[in-house]
Amino acid sequence: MMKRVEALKAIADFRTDAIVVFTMGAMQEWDQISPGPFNLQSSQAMGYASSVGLGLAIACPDKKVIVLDGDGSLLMNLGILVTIANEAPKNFIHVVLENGIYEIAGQEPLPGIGKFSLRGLALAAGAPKAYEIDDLRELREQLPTLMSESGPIFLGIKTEPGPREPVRKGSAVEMARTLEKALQPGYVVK
Amino acid sequence: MDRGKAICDELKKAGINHLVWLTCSATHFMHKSMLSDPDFKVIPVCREAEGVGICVGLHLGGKRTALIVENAGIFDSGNGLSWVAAWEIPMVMIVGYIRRPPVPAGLPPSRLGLNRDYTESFLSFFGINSYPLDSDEDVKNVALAGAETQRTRQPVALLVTDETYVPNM
Repeated sequence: MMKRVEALKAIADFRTDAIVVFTMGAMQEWDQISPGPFNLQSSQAMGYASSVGLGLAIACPDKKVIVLDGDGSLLMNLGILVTIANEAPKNFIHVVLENGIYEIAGQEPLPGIGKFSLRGLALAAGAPKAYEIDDLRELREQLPTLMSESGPIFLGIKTEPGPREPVRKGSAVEMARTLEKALQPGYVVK
Repeated sequence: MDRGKAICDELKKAGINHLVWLTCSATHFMHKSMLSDPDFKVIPVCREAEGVGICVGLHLGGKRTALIVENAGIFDSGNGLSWVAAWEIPMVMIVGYIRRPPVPAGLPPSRLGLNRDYTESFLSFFGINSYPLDSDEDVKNVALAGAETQRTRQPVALLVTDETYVPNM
């Protein structure tokens, strides 16, 4: 298994100019590891980063959209797996950082942890491509292919539980405004 | 008037090109028109709050959206609605009123009454204005809602009553 920050750094190295919607654990590090106008923190309504990401992928078919989701977060919105498979946006990658706990809330284990497979659920929901990786070296080897493959892609990354830390929240509203402007025609990345 | 088609035409005039939808008996009359119209991208969802999130993403990506769901699903989406209000996301909501039958005789009355009795108050709690969409005359409210949501950057709801359908509960 790998640390969450290691997984995020690996993804950041292959991100290019993709839109990245991040939530829960990824909020602790992502915007510092890979800042930019195409980041969106989804913290207001837990569970819906994947929904926002899907909406962005449909609206912006020429841009890659990556969702950095949490396993507990996804469990709150499992139907999105069916919706993603049904809409099948080619530019969409749903990354789920699976540490098996509600790390921010209090480190409690997810219900049924060890009995279910999110990759299995994604496949059963109709995902055309679903992977699960628990080794950092393998993740780095696979990311170039995953980032260039036609989606939608589900990628579960097994990560070690981290310590409970105060949530480092950027201004999600400001990020939303910045992203909205950055996605308008004619926007020039500075 | 084919009210379903008329509503769809008004939605398009308001620049709305994406419909996020969870099927509902009250809005059933417009489903055929919206599904057969090539100018719409219709996105069926599994849960209403999921649809709220998709509308947020669509808006940030430059699309104008309508969320077409049942009022009970709106109650389920409170967390999502607070998010939309905080982020100032324009969104037209076409909300079906589902009328639940009265409590059978001999049982204590429901303190909350019927779902439609508290739909408007629930919406207004989140700062969402609502207008009726129950008649041919009401179709003009689609344009009103479309303009208001863009001006205020708050969702605006159009409420559709289905008087004929009573769920067997």
